[in-house]
Amino acid sequence: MKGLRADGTAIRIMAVDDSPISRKMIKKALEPEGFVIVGEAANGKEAVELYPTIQADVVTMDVTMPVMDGLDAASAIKNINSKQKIIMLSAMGDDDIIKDAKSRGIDDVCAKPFKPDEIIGKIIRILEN
Amino acid sequence: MSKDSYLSPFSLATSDVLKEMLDINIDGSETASEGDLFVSQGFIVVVGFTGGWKGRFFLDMSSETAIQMASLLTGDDYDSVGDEDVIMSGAELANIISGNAITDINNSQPGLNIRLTPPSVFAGDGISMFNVRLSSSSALMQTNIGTIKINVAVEGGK
Amino acid sequence: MDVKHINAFVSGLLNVSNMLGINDIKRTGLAKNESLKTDNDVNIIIGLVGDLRGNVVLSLQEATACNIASKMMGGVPVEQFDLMPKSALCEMANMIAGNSVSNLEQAGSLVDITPPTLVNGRNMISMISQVETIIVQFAASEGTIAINISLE
Repeated sequence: MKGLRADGTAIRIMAVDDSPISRKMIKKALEPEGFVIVGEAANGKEAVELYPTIQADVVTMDVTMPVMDGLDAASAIKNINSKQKIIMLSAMGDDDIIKDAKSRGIDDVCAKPFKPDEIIGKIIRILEN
Repeated sequence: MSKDSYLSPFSLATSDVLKEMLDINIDGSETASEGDLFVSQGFIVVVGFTGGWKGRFFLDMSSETAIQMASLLTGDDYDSVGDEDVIMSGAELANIISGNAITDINNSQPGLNIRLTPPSVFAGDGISMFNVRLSSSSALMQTNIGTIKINVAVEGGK
Repeated sequence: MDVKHINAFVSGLLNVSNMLGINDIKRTGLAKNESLKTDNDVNIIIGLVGDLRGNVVLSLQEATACNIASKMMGGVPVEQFDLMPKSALCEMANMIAGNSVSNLEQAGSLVDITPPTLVNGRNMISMISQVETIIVQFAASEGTIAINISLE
């Protein structure tokens, strides 16, 4: 159970993606390992509004979304809490986008489609840092 | 650039994404040049793109294949192609395939800066798609859940 | 959604219609939907990327599309919705999009558009856009036409 810490508490995840199918895939990858999805948002604005009401250890953030994109949402969340860990999870990830993501303090980048082990590994690694 | 060089990043992305997300292998693939008319097998997703290349991508399959694909993706069973999950699964797959293809194209040809439009999905019998002054190429991929067809058209692509 | 964006497309459609000789076209209605689906046989999608991102869709029945194509070709009767009227409708959509993009530019938004894709089929199930959509309806002697604007 990679989603549980040594003390048995679960790692808390907020999943931000405009595709309900993608959010389902994130749950399917993480929940069997004990991670808990504490919040879901379908666009950047929803994510920024939801963020202060939940305590997430890691936010998974899609990039291309309606209303507010994931890069702007990541900046807004980092403004609220500069220590918040954020992983960009996107099908579009050319060098320009990745550079932009890094400049906003996004902790790691995971390309879609992702393997469960890949995203789990990245979540655990950024929490250790 | 030849039409095949527009198609190949999408073909590659399609086989990678099908393998990775659905564990589907392509048993055989052939490419074909098409005119401006494209007849759907019953379920089609359209993703447009602009920037250094202007055009659009189709992901096309039968309704039965679309239903099976959604089941493989979510683990649930569906009776109808009209189910919200089937429609959204098709949209997300096409979005990921075109996102992967465009990422590769943008990275290999810096400055193109191609961006995608949101996907649209159509299902039904006798659907045809038409682009004026835009010829396209298709790749037909045989899989164990049916024939999956992709089609790419780029403005100025010969 | 910003009213100046809607107006850019409304004037684009009216300007181009008038240029093509569809002179009696009038705006007849305005509706808002949570998403964009279609009940029409003919739908022409144009994607937008840039300051605005989304899809704009011209939507009409085959008979209306044939009447418009006939008008564009100087009155030649058009009975079948085959390649010729399809080309004509795509050209019209291209012109409307071009006109609307310059209107948007004047209003301060820079937008790049995809080439038009015409989708033709009866009784289709559709999901063109998941976001709030403004539908503006028009009527002319050729029939009724709707422009659907889905902006993220």
